[in-house]
Amino acid sequence: MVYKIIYKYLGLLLCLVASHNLFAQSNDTYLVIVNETVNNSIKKKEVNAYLRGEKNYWPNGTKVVISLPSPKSELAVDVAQAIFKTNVTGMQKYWLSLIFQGRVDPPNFIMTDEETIAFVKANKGAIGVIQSKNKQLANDLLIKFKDLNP
Amino acid sequence: MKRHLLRNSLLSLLIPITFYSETQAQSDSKKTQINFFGHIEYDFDKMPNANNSFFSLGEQDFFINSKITEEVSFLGESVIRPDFKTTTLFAPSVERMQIKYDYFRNHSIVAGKMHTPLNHWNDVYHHGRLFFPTVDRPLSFSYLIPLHTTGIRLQGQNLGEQKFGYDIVSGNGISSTDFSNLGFNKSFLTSFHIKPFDYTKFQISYYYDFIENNQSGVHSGHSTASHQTQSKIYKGNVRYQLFSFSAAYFSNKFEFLNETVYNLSGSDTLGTAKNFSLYAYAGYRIKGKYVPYISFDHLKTASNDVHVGPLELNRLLIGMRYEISHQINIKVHLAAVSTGHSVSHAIGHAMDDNSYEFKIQLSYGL
Repeated sequence: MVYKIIYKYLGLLLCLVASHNLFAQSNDTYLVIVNETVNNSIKKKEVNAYLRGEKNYWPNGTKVVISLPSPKSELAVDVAQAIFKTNVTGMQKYWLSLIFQGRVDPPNFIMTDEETIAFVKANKGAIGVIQSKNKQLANDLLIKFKDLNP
Repeated sequence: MKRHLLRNSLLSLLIPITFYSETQAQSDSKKTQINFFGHIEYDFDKMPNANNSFFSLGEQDFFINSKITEEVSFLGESVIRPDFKTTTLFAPSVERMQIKYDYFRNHSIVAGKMHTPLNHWNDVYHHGRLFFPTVDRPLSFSYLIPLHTTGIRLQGQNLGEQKFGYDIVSGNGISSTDFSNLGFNKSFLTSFHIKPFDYTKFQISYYYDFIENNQSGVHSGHSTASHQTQSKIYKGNVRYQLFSFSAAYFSNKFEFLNETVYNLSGSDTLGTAKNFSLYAYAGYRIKGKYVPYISFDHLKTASNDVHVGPLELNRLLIGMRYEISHQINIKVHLAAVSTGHSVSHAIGHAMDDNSYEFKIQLSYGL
């Protein structure tokens, strides 16, 4: 009897969880940039999976090298909310937990957009985010999606 | 050449030693990261025959993760932990030592000593009190869950739309030590999970082991019920099967975890014992840092169980977690623990009924 009540409660809670996800929002204060070796190879809806460490290899077989804004950088709050759907502390804990589990390579945390651009240019398979206002600094690295750029 | 080697060695030691160090433009493929995890605790226990109040040091965990090549990585975890068999009551222990080879995209093969990926808690938190949603692990971790396996593991993760993952493990069983394993039998585990929504994970798994002479090795995590005397412990072989289900949801508001375990423990003399455990946790985050929570934990082993012995435990608790940063938190809880009447009936004399505990735990990860 007790277990029936507990499982009914669990079912209700999972329904709430599923409905809660329908209202997830995105953010356009940042731009995603990638190393030229992997551009135009992924679908738009997959981009967050690469930045969250869920996909470790690009479709062409190149290993993904993740760079993210340093927790103290201007962009950290926006990226944490839009990509990780949490705050900066939550984003840091997300990575610390994954590394503790032994499931991913640590990302590279970078302070400024200029450094991110230099990093992505220099590393095969690299992905990063910069502020939208600095678009002109990285025109050749802006991500192009294969489903939007035939 | 020598100068080049020396420079590379120094760089590999200095650059990545801090988790959130800023990165140089060229990523170093040989990247090593060192972390330290631990906790300090205060306990007040009110039991029927005694009250205890004490501070204690918990496990102190040295963690190293190193990327050797683009496909090969190493993970080591050594812990100094409480051990009542030593004079200092602490002893070092190798908890994990594994080499992982990513052979194709999100598919890997892992060799070494690992946390048995049986359920969400053991796979994701294990020793990491910093990551625990509550102060303590579920009750089943002290009696039913095989905590470690030394062996080979095939792993896949984040496959397809549902983010499907699998773990298939064969290795030394519950009776093994870090040096040896009795007999030729190996434990076998298969585990599958999906992450269909953000923050959400469902996992099912099956574990089988043939426990020679019903021995529990040093890293199984298993213990017999406290009322079982050593002379009465069954010395024959045990066929040990375990089915597990986990449902986890951890968002920036709601948190929920369910760990359900069903265990069949078979012996030649008393047949198959059917054991069950259910753990449920729910929390709600306030102002980003405060998580009040409740938890219910139930464990019941059958009267004919020879591995753990007859046991029934219930634990109900309320608590609060305060996350100061992602590297440090404080948890406080008040719990009531009761022993079921079925145990008293099975062993023929009365057991202590109810106890209460108040705990404060400071957990950190550097």
